[in-house]
Amino acid sequence: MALLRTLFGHRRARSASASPTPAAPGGARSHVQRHYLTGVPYLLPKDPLEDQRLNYQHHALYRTLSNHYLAPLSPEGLRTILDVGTGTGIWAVELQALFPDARIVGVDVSLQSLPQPLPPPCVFVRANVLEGLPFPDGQFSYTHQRLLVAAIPARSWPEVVRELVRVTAPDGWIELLEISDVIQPAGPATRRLFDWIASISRSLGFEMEVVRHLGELLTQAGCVDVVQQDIPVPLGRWAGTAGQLLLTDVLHGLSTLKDSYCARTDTPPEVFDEMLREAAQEWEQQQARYLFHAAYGRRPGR
Amino acid sequence: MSTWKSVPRRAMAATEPLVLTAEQVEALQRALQGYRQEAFARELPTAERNARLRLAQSVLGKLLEPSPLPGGRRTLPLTADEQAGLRWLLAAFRAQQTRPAPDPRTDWLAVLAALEQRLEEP
Repeated sequence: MALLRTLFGHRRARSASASPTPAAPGGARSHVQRHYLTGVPYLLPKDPLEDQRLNYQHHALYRTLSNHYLAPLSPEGLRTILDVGTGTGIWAVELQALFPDARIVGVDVSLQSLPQPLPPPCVFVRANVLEGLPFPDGQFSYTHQRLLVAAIPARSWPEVVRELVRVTAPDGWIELLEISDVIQPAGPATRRLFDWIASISRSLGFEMEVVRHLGELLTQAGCVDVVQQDIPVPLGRWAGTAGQLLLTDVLHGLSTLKDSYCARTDTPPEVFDEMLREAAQEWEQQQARYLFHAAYGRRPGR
Repeated sequence: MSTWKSVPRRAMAATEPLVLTAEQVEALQRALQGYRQEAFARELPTAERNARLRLAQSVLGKLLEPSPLPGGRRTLPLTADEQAGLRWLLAAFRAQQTRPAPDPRTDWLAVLAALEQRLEEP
């Protein structure tokens, strides 16, 4: 609870459950009213605007990473798939189209972002991976989790990865994908922006350093055949359509942090906008790439 | 180097499965993993690059399936599309080796060259 108080200390919590509440942490000065979850350490908003961004991000990632997953899956062995932090459910739905014979389950702390009516035959379950998953051992032949660095405090990562491995069947794959705080090459404006974001995130218990060790986390949790892949994704119009897609997603993603981070540090939003604008200029000038960290491994067979 | 084009749909039927030795399986795994690393690091995300990456991923998936044959051998059933793509990837991998590499990589190259030749056979 101490972490929650730190995270949302300036905000009146309306509920102890994962339900949305308006206004940014700290009571941000913004003309767009954003809604945040209470009761869980999640730094990003949970509202239709964010859902839209998440769906856009899903398509941007497909174009930049070539597929919806990176593990070397074989359709024959896929019976059950788990998507942790399913959000709008778009990944689960598209995986269902790729693997129609598999049973796909998505979990999230809040199911409010899912489309209505729910797309059959996917199943969605409300659960918080930080508190353990409501599934027996060895249930899934493939467990997938991505882009939860803003939802999992640094100290919880080893336990979360162990939990993912626990619910995965022997010989099943576990895959993790996270965005980093590294843009290469990084000019002074980019460094300034990311140093500022990192210092606030760190004070809230969120450490980007952890995502550089996803492969180690899988190995420590007992996985074999572990592959860690650092993927420098082209960022900006210079890289064509895919670069433009990622640029749009990154600009919107960083802007979603603006309200709460500016409020916490008494930083005028215009200062943030200027930092972001200057950084984005560098990305075009220097043909920058945004580093993603991926890792996948297999739970040992029986 | 010529670019790889997906073969027409009518040619996508499965070909005769390849039976690979444990050594060939390992060499091919290394080549495909290496290709993925290189492609992500150096190629812009075009539709063609993405198709090649998905193909490498799919073949890797077949190579890494549990329960190999005795002696670590493995049956590798490939569609005609995958076979064409794999030939292209192996040729690209060979072309990248501009100078002799130290052992044991040299051995992997020899193994892959033999495998490439098998894929060329009618």
